[in-house]
Amino acid sequence: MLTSLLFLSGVGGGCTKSPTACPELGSDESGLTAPARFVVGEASAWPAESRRRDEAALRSSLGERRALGWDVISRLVEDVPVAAPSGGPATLPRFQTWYGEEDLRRVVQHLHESGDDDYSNAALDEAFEWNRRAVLEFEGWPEERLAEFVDGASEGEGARGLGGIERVIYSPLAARHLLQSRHELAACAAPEPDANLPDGFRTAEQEESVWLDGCGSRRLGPYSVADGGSFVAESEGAVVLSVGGDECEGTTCRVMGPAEVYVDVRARERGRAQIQVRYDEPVALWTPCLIQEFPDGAVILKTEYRRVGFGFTVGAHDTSVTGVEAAFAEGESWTEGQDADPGEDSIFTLALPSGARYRLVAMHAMVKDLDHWIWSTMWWSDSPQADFGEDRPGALGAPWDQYKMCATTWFEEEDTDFTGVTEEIRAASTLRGSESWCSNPFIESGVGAAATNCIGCHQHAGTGASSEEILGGALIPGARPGRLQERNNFPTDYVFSVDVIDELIRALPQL
Amino acid sequence: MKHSARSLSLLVIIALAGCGDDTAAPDSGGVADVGVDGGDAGLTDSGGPDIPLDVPPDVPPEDAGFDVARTPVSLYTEVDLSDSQLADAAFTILGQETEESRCTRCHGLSVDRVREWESTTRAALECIGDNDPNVDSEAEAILDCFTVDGEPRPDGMGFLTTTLGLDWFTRTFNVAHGFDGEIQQTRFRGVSEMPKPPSVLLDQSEVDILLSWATRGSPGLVERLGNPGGAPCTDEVRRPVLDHVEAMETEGWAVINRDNNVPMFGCDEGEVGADCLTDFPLAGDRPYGAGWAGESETLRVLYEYEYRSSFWTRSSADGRFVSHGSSERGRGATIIDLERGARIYANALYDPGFFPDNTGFMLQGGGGHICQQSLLTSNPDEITFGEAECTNTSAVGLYQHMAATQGGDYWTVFGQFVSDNGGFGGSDGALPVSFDQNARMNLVPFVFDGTQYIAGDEISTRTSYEGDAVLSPSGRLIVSRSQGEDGNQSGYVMRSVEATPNGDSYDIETRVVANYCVRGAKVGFSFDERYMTFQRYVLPSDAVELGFTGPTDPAFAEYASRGASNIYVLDVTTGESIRATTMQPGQFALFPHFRSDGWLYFVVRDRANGASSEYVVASDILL
Repeated sequence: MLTSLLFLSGVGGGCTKSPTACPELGSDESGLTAPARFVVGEASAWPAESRRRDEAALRSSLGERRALGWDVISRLVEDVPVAAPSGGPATLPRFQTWYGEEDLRRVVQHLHESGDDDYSNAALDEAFEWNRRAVLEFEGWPEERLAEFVDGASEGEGARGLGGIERVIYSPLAARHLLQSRHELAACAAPEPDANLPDGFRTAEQEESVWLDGCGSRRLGPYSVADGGSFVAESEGAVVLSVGGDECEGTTCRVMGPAEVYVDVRARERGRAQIQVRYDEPVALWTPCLIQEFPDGAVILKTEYRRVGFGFTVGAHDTSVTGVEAAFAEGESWTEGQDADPGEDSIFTLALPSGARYRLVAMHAMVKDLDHWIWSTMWWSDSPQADFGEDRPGALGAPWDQYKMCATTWFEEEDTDFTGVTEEIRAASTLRGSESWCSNPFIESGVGAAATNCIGCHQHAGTGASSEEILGGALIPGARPGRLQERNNFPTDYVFSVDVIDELIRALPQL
Repeated sequence: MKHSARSLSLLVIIALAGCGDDTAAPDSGGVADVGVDGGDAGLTDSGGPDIPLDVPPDVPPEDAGFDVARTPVSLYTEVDLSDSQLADAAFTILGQETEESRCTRCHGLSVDRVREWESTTRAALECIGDNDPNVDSEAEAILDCFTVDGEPRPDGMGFLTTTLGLDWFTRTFNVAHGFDGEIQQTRFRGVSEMPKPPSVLLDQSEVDILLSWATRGSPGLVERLGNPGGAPCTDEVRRPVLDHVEAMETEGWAVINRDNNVPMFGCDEGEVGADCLTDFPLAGDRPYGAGWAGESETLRVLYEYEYRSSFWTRSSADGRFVSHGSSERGRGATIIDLERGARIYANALYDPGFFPDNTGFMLQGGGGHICQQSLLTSNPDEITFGEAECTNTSAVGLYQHMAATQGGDYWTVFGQFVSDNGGFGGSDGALPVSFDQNARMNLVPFVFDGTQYIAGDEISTRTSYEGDAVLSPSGRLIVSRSQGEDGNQSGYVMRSVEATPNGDSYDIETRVVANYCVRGAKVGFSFDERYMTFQRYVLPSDAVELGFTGPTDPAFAEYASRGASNIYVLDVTTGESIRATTMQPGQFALFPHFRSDGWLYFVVRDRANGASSEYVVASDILL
């Protein structure tokens, strides 16, 4: 029997792990090793049909979002040709060809040794190409051993094991973008990360129109006032303004920044009031810790595997309306799930070269087809035809027909179109009202994470905020943590797992 | 006369101790028989030497300090058993010939070792004397017996280490420390309590038996343990060793770490092997290091420190971090960051270990603590083991050694061991091999479940009269020190290890693949697994090998009087060994181990010429 819990591992991501770096202990989380990369060849690009979507349509149609979510999954698991040296496998699921920390370490080291530190496209082309054949320079992999390795990974679980079980993997464009952002990432990781701060302010004007019953009140805001800036609100109508509980002088409120200002408007009599707001808001770069936001076609994937054998089981989670409601009632947290022991024909199973076998229980994708990404997350289920599996496309064959999916594209949805959406999915998806909801029971296992929506937590990526701060509501007083928009810039463009680059570069020997 | 009842009991104890001293010479470590014919039945009939703790009625509660329950409790009650019955019961508790090897899980039973426990127990009871745990000052005096500078001191407790969680000590801590009693007791137990998990603690009735046995002079001891049972050693290296070393040329952690570009400490861009560490002074250039290095060897001093290290020292695979128990803050452990020249205090006691893939480390003390190595590279000043990168486990016994299979699980091995704290007088002679016929090697896998590592079931193999087991970095070899027919070390036994997943655990198959008939302490493997290194304390039998005419050579006299130890390296494919150091009298080169690229690290405890310093030293003898 296995007894005591040991290391938390994996790079932080989502709301369940600390967003700060948490490099894994040990070789068992190995990704695509150098000999495996030799067999697999270059990573498969995200399909060219990637394009900017109609955000408004997606925000108003649950059906469109779900179709898009399944489309993302389909493209991730699509079998794609691999380099296939003699004896190797012909195809692998696309995501299994992508880059993880092992690849990036080799690439960074190679660029460093080449003295090619500008990370230009040409330099990266050369480095990734070298990476494909890096193993040929390895002492530990003479030709004979490499041939044995290829033979052992020709098909089945052994072939699938080539891709490793690294927790965070990157599409080619995403990996390249992170590498090219190394200076910005390093600046943000510095003890005093200037790049993470707003770089000035500009004056914003806003007119709020408020209808109030007699003695009614309304809170306006928050208005972010920059350091050194000011805030002025003036009212017209029979209302009293107050800020922070203090009544303002006459019809005007004044506050000096920095501040997050809420204005309470209280009616003296029934009627409409106009509030003119003028304030100096901080101007922040959209993604100050990257050279720019991720390009179209960038995909970042978080995977969750479970060991086969040793008494380990897979949690079967109830994601029906009843199950989701139960999770909300349990402190908005998922429970462990019922023990299940699915066979290799009903769950994606692989065997690492060490012989250790793993099952893929969840996969969480963020796809940069929108400014704020498409969030599509899937999980294994022992009742795959029910609830979030009811609308799974028939083209997704075994073992992918054993997984369920939810997707979101924004903090709040304004659904008016439920075409093609089953009652069960509609009911479970809208339990939070207009707040969007999408929580993977395997990945969002932290306290309070069952009621989240991916995007709500990820907006804080790169800020240094911990999971506890995000989910505990410590960042914006009164806000509903981990769900609604709380930021006007996104230091690492919603991506938690960026520390890997800075750590790899800092680990290089000094020239 | 508030102490009358207790005083009477104490006199009985002292009388017993005196009787034992007269007949058994317990402090001498001798083998004189005790108690078998001791005629002590009358003593057991006396009703037993209880130490009652009930507060006498004439003492007002406020004088008794912390308001504790007043029910009477005793440290122990003499049991009414014959010597033979008592011996049977005591050996069962100790774990001889039982499935539940509570003490023998870590400690081999020998006459010398049990005599040492016995004498320490008697001394501890004498120190407690007639102090009353119900009185503040006297409770404090009791605890003072087992502390040094306020820190718990397990080596002065003998069998009383098994009593720290029982009522008598609970009372003592509560009275001495008031509301902090529980906290202090927990702290004390974390350091001193025996047996360590997962062995089950003794209950009061078992403590009664064990303390009765000790105070009677351990009757039956010589009959049961008087004859060492080891086997003679014959040098032998079998084919699997050669095959293994060849396999490690491509599959060992040396080449894996090299291919993975694990940066080696002290190697600038493009530097490898002996070209590294050139920023550090040669040992021969330091005032204490003349003559240490061999002709074709370079020794560099990586770090000098003023505190006393305790027990062994180990380093990270990249050679950047060096760790050991230490006296730096009274008690604790230190991790030296050679890159920063900084010391990291760790809230543990001893037994550091680093995984060969440079990703994690372990320390013991208050349980086992395992952390990601990224914690160290984040440049902390202190480690509490409450950090997110750490976890705590009771699944690994003391004196553990660690390994990792490539792309697979982690392993630790532990079993019976001999404490080795050379240079401080306790183990400067021939290092004992007090391993008994019940000795076992216990392997614990740390199985990755997909998100975290989980300690699997302990897999145990009997290895009679062997201990101090060490896993090779790959986990495919185990080497242990073996006891010979005469009770002294016969050499080292090497076994191959084959681990096959089976159901909820692994099947383990071990086979003896080599015997090396050389004497030395616990070994350290090179990362290519071709070499082992160990220290050997200088004995008269070493005089000629060290260049003297013999043990009576006047020039050797200082070695005989002040002691020393040297580092050796052994080629596992041939069994040939070479000496890597020539230490001066009073200088102890200790705890050698390799880093991934073949540099050999060790510490020197320097007691020569009035010195009281220690150094971390690196040798390029294999480079």
